Amino acid sequence: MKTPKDTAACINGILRLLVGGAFVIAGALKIADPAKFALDVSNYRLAPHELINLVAILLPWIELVAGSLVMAGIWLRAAALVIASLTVMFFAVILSALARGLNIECGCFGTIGGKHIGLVNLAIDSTLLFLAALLAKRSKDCPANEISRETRAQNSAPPLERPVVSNRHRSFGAADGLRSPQGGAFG
Amino acid sequence: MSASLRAPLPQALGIVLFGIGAGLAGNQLSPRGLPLITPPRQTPKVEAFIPLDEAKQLWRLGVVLFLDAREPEDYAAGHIGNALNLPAQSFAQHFAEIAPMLTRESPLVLYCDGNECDLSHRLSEILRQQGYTNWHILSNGWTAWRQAGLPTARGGQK
Repeated sequence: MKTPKDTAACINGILRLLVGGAFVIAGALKIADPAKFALDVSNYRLAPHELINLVAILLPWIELVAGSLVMAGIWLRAAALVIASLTVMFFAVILSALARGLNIECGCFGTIGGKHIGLVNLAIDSTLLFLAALLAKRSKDCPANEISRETRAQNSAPPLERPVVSNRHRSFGAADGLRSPQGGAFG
Repeated sequence: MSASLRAPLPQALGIVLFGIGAGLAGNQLSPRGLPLITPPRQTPKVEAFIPLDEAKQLWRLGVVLFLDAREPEDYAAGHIGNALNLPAQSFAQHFAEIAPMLTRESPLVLYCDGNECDLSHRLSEILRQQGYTNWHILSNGWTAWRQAGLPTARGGQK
C-alpha cells in the first residue's frame, strides 16, 4: 500500500522530470547550434551587441546544469531556484519583445517548432515557473527530505556526549582530549 | 542553524558559476564554438548597394534572385514580383526552403522597406556568415520599387 511519503516522492519525481527535463532539452538544443541561438538572442535587441555571443554560450549551459541537478535531485532547492529565476527572466524578455511588436523566433527550445513568440511561450514559461516554485517548496517541506537531512546532519556532527558508564571502569577522557559539554574533561 | 533552513542561495550561485565554467570550456572545445566577444557588425559598404535602375535591369534579365527580408505578413501584403521571402528575423525557419535554389555564388538582391529598415542589412550579414557573398542591397526596396511602378505581386510564398 502506498504511504503519503511514497505519493510525495512520486509527485516530486514527476515534477523533477518535467522541469529538469525541459531545461536539459532546451539547453542541449542551444548548445548544439550556438550560432543559431546567438541570432535568436540578437533578434530580441536587448543585449549589447558585443555580449550576444557570451549570452549564447553561457545561458544554455546554466540551463543544462540546473536542469540536470533537478532531474538528479541534487541541490534541488537551489537548482529549482536557478530555473525559476531563468524562467522569470525569459518571461520578461518575451513580454518585452511582444510589447515592442517584434515578430521573432522564440529561441526557447532550439529549432524545435521554430515558432514565433506569442502568448503560448508566456503560458509555457508561467507553467515552468509554477512547477519550479512548487518543486522548491516541496523539497523544503517534504518530510522524507527533512528526515534525510537530519540523519545526514547527525551523522556528520561530532558526538557531544559520551556514556558516563565507562568512567568507573576506564579513565580515558582526559588522555583522549575529550571534554564534557560543560567544558570539563571526561573521567 | 539546521541544515534544512540553510538558504540555497550559495548553492544557486555555485550552479550558475559551474554553468559559466562549463560553457566557457565547452565553447573552447566545440568545433562550433563562437568568439566570446561578438565581432562588430559589418555595415554594408557603399558598393554593396544597388541603384533601382540597375536592379530593374537585372530583374528584367532574370539573372538575379530577389530576396525579401521582411516578415511573411509584410511579404504577403505585397512584394517585388518573383521575389522570395527570407525573413531576417526567422532566417533558420525559412532558409531550408530557399537553400536548394542557391549556390554560394548566386547573385542576390536583398531588400526590405523604408530607409530605417535594417532587415536587409541583417540578412546580408547572416548570408555572408553562411558563405553567400554575391549579394546587393536595394535600399528602401519595396517602396522605391512600388513607386517606380515596377512589377509587384501579392500573397504568401508557395
